[in-house]
Amino acid sequence: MRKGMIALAMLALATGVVGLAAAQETTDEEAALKAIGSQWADAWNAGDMTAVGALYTEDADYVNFFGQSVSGRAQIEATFSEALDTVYKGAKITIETTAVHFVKPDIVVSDSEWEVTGVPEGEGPKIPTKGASTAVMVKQDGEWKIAAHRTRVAAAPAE
Amino acid sequence: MRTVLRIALMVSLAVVPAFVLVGCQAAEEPEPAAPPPTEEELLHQLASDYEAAWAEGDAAAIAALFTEDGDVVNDNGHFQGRSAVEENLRQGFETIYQGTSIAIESTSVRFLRPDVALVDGTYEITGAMSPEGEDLPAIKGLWMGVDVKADGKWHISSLRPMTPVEAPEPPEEG
Repeated sequence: MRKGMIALAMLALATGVVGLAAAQETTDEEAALKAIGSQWADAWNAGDMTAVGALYTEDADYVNFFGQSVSGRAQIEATFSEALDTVYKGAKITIETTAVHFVKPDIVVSDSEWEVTGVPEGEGPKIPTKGASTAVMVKQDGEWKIAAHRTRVAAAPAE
Repeated sequence: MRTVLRIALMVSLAVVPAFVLVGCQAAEEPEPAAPPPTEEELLHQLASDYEAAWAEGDAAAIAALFTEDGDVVNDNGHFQGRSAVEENLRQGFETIYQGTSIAIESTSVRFLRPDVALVDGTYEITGAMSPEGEDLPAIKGLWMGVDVKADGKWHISSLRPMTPVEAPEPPEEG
């Protein structure tokens, strides 16, 4: 815990070095980037897969927590559509973006936590209902789009 | 399919004499320099350097493969910056990863820009032992890395390992 505090203090010091103007710009971008998680959730909760797909680049790829991968916006739309029609039928998702790491001014790695509620009770094995995700986002024509999306489930329950 | 084979055969027949000719010419000229490594080869080298530093249990050497602000998110948390990455690895090498080896494969490389690569791969950590000295099973998983090139050298900007969960059997029809 103390180590965490020291790390935070060091981080705060390091952040302070950044120019104020640049920091303000980064903050605005961060807010826009963090909003994409809730846009994703709103679109999926409304069953609007076109809106979900529109958040991705044309050549985006997605790897789910089973390690299964799909490429291209159309395939990604189809994958999430199928999930909402089957294992997650009627479920709602919430996504909270916890960190945004700027790789370049036009490329970020964004980390989120997600949780699904209202999953239908099935006879089969339970589908994961909470986990984390990482999105690599690129700025295209002034808009941030997901170029790569990975979801995962914590290997062990938190202690 | 047969047409493809035939074309491949024709191409290979045509290429062999060409190599022989080139070989004759090269004999009279100074030894050509080895071609510079491709970006993919340099990215694979980054993975090899990671493996080599891991084999030494050298947390600082692995952290040096990251950018100054590089980060890792794993089941233990979010480690931002080289020193945090190093500290997390150091704790690992003092405990669960002590004396282990890691084998890293890069399965796909996609360039988001010429100097930013999105790399996916697999990893397998072997040789772990319980505190009681019993052999533990290999730790396997996937990873995604975002690597950046600066001053001619690739570094890891973000690394996201993950352990896939087992997919349920598809439900039976009917």
